[in-house]
Amino acid sequence: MQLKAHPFRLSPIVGAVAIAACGGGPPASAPKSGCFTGDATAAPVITLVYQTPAGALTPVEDGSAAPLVVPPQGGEVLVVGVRALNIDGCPLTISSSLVMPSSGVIASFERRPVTLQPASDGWLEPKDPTGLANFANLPACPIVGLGQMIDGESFRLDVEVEDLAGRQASASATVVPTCDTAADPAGCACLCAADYVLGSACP
Amino acid sequence: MVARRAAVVLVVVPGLLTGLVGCGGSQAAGPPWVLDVPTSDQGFQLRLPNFEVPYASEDQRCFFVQVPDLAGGQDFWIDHVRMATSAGSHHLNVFRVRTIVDLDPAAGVPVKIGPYDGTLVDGGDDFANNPCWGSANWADWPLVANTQSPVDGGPYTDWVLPDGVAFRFSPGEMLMVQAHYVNSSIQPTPVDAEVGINFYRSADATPIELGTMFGTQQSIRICQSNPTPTFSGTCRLPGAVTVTAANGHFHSRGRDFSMYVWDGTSTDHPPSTDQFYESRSWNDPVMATGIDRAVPDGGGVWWDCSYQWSPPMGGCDAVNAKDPEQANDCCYVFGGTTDLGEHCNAFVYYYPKGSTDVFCN
Repeated sequence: MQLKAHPFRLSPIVGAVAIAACGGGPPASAPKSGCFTGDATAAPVITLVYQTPAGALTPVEDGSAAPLVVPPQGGEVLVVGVRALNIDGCPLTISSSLVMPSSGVIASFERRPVTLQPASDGWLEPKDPTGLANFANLPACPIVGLGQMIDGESFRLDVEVEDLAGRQASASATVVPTCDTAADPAGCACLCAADYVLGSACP
Repeated sequence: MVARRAAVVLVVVPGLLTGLVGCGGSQAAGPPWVLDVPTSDQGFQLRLPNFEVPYASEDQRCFFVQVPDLAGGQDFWIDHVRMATSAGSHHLNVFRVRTIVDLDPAAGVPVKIGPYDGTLVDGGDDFANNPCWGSANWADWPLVANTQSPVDGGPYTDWVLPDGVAFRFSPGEMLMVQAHYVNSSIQPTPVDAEVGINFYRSADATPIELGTMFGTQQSIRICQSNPTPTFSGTCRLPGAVTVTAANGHFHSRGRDFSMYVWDGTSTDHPPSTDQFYESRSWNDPVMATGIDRAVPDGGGVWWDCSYQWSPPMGGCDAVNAKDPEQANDCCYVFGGTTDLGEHCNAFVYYYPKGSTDVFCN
């Protein structure tokens, strides 16, 4: 597991099953509102999680498969979230990108506000973990112009978060977007093919 | 290439004479729109059947019709689209029908669309159940053209493509024309909904083919507790292209819809110099044409949807009931009628088309 170096990162923390990273930001001050959790004097920390097609939260393990999920609008997305500490998760802006590691080409990027809630272990985690709104909905298929398929290929997943007070953290991991074998793997693979043409017949 | 339009037959739609059904706003019906009917050498017209939109209601209708054969069974090219919509139009989108999921032309009721046989799936305001409201049903249907409510700009959207650029139609190709009308105090439909589209043929035998991009962010929330959210997305385009037209779509909490050229390698927000579209008018967003902005190979479009939460006119109960999180935070979520839901949809037209039209989720 490797952590991507970001200018504002202070001290990366590597967990056993999750990718964790720390961040920085302005000097600590007492949170005024929201759901700050942790130590206001410590650097923010996040670990990456994804939502399985069944709606469960699972830690992102470096190099592991990340399930492709069909969102309401169609296509396939990665539903990626964070567990966080020493930061205010109500709300938190999450920026995520899916990057081709060999070239640095960004296959997709999105940024959105999400809301976290305290978990039993003292960290924050996505509120409504079975929904989509408090995760990055990172577009994965179809994506034109990559020159490679997406299903089963390795990409770098970069995630940055920032709360309203400017506290920041980031984390990266290698992930392998993978079609859900329990859903429509042939249709998913078709959408994720390098030469997919919008509207062409898929199995 | 010069786009042509000839007045051979005049169709006058007597909007003011078709019955006043709206009563909630001060929006005037305006003069009735007029669209010439092209000859087959010039193109073709899709004239939807009028429909009533009672006050305090919305109606989204999905019309299906096949492209007529104007060229002896051969494909033909279109370089000029003139769309006319009566007051109250929320959007008008045209897609090419591809994979049938739940929205099936064969399941519609027969209608006449001008001289052509078509079908209609009337979604009414049943956004929760009717397939005419479910955008996953047209996720792989390439966009053809769109326009939104002309409130102050008159009933017409007149879109002439750049010289030497056109899009292709194949005879028999199934189109879906989706018309959404709102009749409320903030977007009144003072007369029956009336829609017509003229597609004008290109005289160029080998034009550069136009491509289209439809992007939509759907897992959005605009909540009372976080009242000014912004959602940003990117969408890669197939190769080095030129953006020629665009518009954005959100509902009344929308404050700023912006689109930029994106280099495909940066997660930094593009500079303002790369902006090619901005709309701050939810019910009268500009259809920007003649944009002429180059997108580098490997690049695409970055778009932002910014919102300002405002209390629902009817109170929060219906908005809360629609929220899948049941957060009781008066959160507007994606889709549905304009009073209860929000959108963040980007429509971009570019050339050359390259390998494919584009859908981004």
